[in-house]
Amino acid sequence: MKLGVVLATLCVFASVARAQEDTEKYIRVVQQKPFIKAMRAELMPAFVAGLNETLTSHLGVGVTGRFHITDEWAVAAEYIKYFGKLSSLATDIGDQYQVYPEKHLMDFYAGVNASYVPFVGKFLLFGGPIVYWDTYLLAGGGVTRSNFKNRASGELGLGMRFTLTQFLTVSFELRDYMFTEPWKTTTKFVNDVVFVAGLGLFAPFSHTYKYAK
Amino acid sequence: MRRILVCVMMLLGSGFAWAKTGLTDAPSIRHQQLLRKARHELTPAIGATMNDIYCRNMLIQLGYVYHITDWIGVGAEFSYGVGFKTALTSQIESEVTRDPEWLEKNAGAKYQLGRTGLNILALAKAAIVPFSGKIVLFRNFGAYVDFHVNLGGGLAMVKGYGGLDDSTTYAVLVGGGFRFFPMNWWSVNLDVSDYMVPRVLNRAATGTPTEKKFTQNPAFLFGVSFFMPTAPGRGN
Repeated sequence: MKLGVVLATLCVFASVARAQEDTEKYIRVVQQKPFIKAMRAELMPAFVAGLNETLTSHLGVGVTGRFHITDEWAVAAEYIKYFGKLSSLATDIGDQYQVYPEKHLMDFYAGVNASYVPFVGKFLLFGGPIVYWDTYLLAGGGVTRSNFKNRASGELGLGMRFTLTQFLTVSFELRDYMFTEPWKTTTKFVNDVVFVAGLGLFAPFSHTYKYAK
Repeated sequence: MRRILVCVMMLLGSGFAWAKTGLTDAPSIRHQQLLRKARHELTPAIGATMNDIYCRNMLIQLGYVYHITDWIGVGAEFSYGVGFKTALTSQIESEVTRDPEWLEKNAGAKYQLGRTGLNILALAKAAIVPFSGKIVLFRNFGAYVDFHVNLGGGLAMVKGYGGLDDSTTYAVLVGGGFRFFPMNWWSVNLDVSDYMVPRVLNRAATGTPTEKKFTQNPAFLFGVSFFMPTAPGRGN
């Protein structure tokens, strides 16, 4: 009987020690990052919508090819094809005031940009699963084709990227394409602010750490 | 001996069970700082409506929310708006003023485009926080952050400019934004709120007001929230 008690006590200690070992397997002093962008390429097809328009309305489709040099810095080339039309307001103003303001439609934007990630973070979704995300700033330049002429353009933007899997992300961006454009009476500085929603596909499909966990 | 074996097997089994539930049933965050649950939030904010056709509205706002849980709260907000002409309004006014037909009837006068703007919004709202978490800024500075959605409705007072009448109507609010917590008793807020208000938007040059429409008035708001009690609770 004594032997039984001793064995049982030993087993309790053994199982508790094993439980502690199991827990320690998952808790590390330095956690590995769950999503690495450095030295990976990203292809992002996107939907684009113009935000600061009243007399015209533009929707577009675009693609951005981005190479992440580090987790913070990346360079990209981008292209947006716009589908623009005059809004009903343009007609209303003509009818109501006999005033016909000049309207220009855009055709495309093509350019390059560099981006920097100042924020990284993680969200709990309703207190449950963890979603990793980052915020990036981008600046660049290119060409906007507006009113049948090419205009040299600057670009500033802000984006948020949510990680879905090791190779798939969803991004939401605000971009401002700036250019000067001659109109009939004056030359205007145009801010073309657009909302971009894109799906990022990363290659290689995952990052392999040099050392084991 | 059999009894001993049974006893040992049971103990080993219970040990494994304990080890497994120790991780799988654990919350995503242990002892989470509950930055909103059972706290009052008072938010002064300032902002402006965007993409307006005839009248841009600057808004000064005071909001209050009581957070019942960490992810849902109820409250109210009061906004006072001041209207300014947009560039399009100025352009139309100057072109109509130069129109010979209009000048013939209104010699020496300057045309004023009749338009409306948001004056007062008094709304009740529900604030939902689907996402909350942490950020690291420049690999150095940590802060808490959340994304919230506001849904509400209430009273709107519409101000008429250029000869259009004031009116009182209802407003519907759909909005969302981010709260950044540099410390756990205050936050910096960036919000976009769409105040949907039925109103006559403008009056044609002939003097006839246009039909009443359900207008969307998205506004960008910058605010600072103060939380009470100042110390947040803790989760399990």
